[in-house]
Amino acid sequence: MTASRLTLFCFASVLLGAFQVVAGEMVELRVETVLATNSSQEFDDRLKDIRPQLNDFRFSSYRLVQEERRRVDWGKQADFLLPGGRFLQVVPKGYINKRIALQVMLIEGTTPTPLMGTLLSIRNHGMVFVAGRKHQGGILIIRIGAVTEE
Amino acid sequence: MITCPRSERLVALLYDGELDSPLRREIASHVAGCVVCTRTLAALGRVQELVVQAISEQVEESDFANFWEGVASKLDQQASSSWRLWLQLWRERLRPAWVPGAPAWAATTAALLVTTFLVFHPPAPSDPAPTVLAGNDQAEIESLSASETVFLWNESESNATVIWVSDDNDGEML
Repeated sequence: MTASRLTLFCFASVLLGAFQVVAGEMVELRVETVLATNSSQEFDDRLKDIRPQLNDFRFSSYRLVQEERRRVDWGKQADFLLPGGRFLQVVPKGYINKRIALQVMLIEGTTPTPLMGTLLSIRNHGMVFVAGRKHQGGILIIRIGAVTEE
Repeated sequence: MITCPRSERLVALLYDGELDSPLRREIASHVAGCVVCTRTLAALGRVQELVVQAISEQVEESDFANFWEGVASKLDQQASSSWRLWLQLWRERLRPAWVPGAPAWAATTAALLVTTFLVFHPPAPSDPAPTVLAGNDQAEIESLSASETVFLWNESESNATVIWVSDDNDGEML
């Protein structure tokens, strides 16, 4: 490693550390799993804060089947067990420009197989949806949210 | 007045050269020995001479000094009306094609708008190039990989970013 690369690496590390200090030492991850079907007109009241977003999926029924919140350190992996033997791995990577960078991986199968992996950023208190897997006559909608102290 | 049954019709056809060869030879032989038909044939020749003479006299009396100017003026008028006629025909010809081509026009217009927006609002050089440029409440996807069919979209009204991991091989979403 040349001196210039070493300097750049140190500078980047200091910057990342500074961002994390500014954002707080931990981040709260929130994973909610919703079962969406067309079998009824039921809407779970616990989902009312994301009703506009869920309506975009155009199902008639939405029911919260699992909710889990976890506070983790920056850079630490959090595993969430989902219905149907699926796993969701979330790693909060950093906090830049009031956005939280997350590494997300969806794993499924008896021999765990990564179905999808992504690196994304959401607004602090924001969310992203991962959906499409079939479950009990409907599909699963996974809401991933993250919150950190500014 | 002495008449010949053949002179009434066939002599005139002979004079105009409209008889076939066998009949022409037969009538010509008849005319040579028939005084009536000979007179009739001579009269036809005289009538034609008079007609040609009368036409020639009228032509000589006509003034053609301004003839070409008049023709040119008429041509100009015809040209302008032809332009309008051609333009109208062109519109009529294209009109049926516009109706099914409306989506194409819309797509072209949208592409022009997007191009104009990109030209006048180019991304900052220091910005990374995420897969999805999102609003404040939407997710920005830096990278995405999957072993299944994946759809990605942003709902503009609800600001929801959705990563759809299809559970079907045919890619059916809903």
